[in-house]
Amino acid sequence: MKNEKIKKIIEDNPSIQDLRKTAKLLNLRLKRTMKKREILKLIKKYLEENVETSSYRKNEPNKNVCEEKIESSHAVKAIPKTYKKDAVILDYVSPYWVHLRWDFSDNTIDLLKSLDIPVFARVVDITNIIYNGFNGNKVFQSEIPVGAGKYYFNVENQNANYIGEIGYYMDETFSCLIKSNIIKTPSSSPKFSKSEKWILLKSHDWKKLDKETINSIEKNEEFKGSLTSEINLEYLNPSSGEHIKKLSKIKSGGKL
Amino acid sequence: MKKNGFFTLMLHAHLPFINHPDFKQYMEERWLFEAITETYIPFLMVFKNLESKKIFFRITMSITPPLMEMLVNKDLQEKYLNYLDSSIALAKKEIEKTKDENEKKLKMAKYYYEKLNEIKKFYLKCNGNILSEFASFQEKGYLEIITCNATHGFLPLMLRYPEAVKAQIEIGVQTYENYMGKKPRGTWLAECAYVPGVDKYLSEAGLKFFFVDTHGLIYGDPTPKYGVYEPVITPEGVFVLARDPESSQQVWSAEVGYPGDPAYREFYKDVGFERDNEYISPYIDPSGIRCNTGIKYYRITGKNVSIDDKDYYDIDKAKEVVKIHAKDFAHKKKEQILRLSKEMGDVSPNIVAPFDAELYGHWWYEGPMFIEALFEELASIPEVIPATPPEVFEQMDAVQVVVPNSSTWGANGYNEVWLNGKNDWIYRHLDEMTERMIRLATIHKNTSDPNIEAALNQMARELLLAQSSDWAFIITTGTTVEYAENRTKFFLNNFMNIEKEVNDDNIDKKYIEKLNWLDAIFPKIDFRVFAKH
Repeated sequence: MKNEKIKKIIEDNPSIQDLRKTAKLLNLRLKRTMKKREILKLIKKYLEENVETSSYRKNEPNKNVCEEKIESSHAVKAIPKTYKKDAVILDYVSPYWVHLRWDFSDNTIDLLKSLDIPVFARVVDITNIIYNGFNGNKVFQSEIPVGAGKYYFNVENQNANYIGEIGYYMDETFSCLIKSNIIKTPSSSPKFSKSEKWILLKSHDWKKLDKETINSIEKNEEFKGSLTSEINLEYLNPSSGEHIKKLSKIKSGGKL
Repeated sequence: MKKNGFFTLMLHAHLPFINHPDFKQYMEERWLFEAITETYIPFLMVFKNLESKKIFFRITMSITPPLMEMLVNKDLQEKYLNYLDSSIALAKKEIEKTKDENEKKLKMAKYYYEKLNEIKKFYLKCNGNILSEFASFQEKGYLEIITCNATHGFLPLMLRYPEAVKAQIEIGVQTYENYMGKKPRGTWLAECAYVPGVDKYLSEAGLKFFFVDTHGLIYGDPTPKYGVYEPVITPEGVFVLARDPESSQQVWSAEVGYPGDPAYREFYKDVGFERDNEYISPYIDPSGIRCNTGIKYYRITGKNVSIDDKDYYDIDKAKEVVKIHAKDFAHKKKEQILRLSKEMGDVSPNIVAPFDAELYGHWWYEGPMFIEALFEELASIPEVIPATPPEVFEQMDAVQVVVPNSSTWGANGYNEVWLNGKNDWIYRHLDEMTERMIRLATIHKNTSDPNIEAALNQMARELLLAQSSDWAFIITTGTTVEYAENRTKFFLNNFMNIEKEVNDDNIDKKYIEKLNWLDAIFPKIDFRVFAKH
């Protein structure tokens, strides 16, 4: 039982039965005649003696070594809530969900306070365009409390490019303060291609294949020839629903 | 038409780096001890059995860098022996206890006592060096041992920092070389998590192949001609193998998977939770927290049977069922290969079946026996050829160039398990520390000051340890959340403390030494792996 839990039990005005049960879990020896305050004292003593709950110390740690900085491998201190830097980061969660998070410098927070207007987080679909801040394919947005630090957006397109933005609206025009990185969401459907690229392993040692070799094969247009000469004709056109049907037939579990 | 195909069994052996040298016992260290007792040594015993019976077998196995580091850690080796002695003592006590309880329980108590003694004998015989035992099977050609990224960091959320991805991959290769004496040919990506771009770093590190989940190829660009049944290659020149959903379902499925058979051992009923305090306290955590001891007397009994109504387990009956399941699986692979061959013409299909290694033995107690029985069955089925990935590549006439899709093997197939409302707080800190690490590594990359080098090397260790995907995973699954959160914060704080000393030009050598003792991973690390060039 964790110290935190024990402390909570003690603080919650426990009955003598609760205390007996707790003491039993802590493997403390109790006499039948013991009173509530005596059991409580025993548990408190246990807490004092067992700083660590899930384990106990082998020896006293080496006293020569910086005990003030690090008590043990069990010691935990808080980590900063903010790094006071302007940063907006976008990550994909799945083909249709993205996660936007942000952190602000003091200057940005001061600016937003001085403007005293709603702040928005946006995720913009920028697939196949050169984004200029206004020509996004689709915008997903939400008014945010500045301190929230994160927001999950449900986006419409899989296999699409997105960028995140934090800013505000002035005269119905979005004014972007900080932009995020660009991401591409994963696919959730098969992709059909008109051409396949194959490398003949009779001519190329698999152990030596690298980007350069593959590029040079592509430049020499060896791919197509390899395919036609080596592969069963029945499979020459996988770029069709027929192929997926075949794949479905030869598998019996899982999901496509 | 080809009438045979390849079967690639891939076992991913991994545990997060848990090492508390300042404690005599630490509950979470038991994860390693349980895995050694129930999975790793039983695997080695199975391999030895197969070898002595001259059964042809091929297994691909990733042993992750943190697991390698824990297996060679002297302190953990000593603790493991203590754990084993304690387990043997409990089994002996159980023999006495069960004499008055039940005949079937007594039979199993005696079985555990003997089994644990065998495990101890094996461990002592190899001098605690489990890694070299695995390596010897690789030398004989039975195993293809591959690596994994350094601390099982979740690469899709790291790709913004090429240096961080590079560090994860290169240190994974380095650790393998350090303990296996040669370069790895392939890698398992932590959580089977791939995102386009990662293959560039794999190629640069000399890695020739990796694995993805089914949809990593089916939704790849383009969808491969043979789906998941033939390896493909990325434009960076790295081969990719993908999970066969059919094999996974046969083994993993909660509904129809083999491990759910009523005759198999019930995982959730352990004497660690059943015996009274006074009796069990010497064998569980000293704080009194109940935990598994590995001594379990009950079988699954039935899907709808409540935990209190389970029937007694009988190892001999379970062994009979193992044989039936192994035969069933082997014949299903044969049927599958014949079915695939019909569709694939002159191309031999390759069925890839990846699993967490710890599923076998730890969770599914009879798992290692299943593997032994499976290869015994396959030995008489010429249509199914067990093969490692390089053996498959050698047989291929051509390989298709495909860019795999971003994917993981977690629930729903993408990042949800490692990025959600419970654990997303981790990443802002990891990003910040990564930026600071890259900055300091770049500034000091030409230093020859041993104190700065030691400090930056330890910062790199702390960052890598904080990056482990296990913490986010545990927080999502809600198992030992407090531990996972504390570990993350512990490593991050250590990182920030050292960073301050470096920035203030006030490095406390003893403090760095202490952290190096507490977080003793990657002895040969060079922080410059994080530097910009």
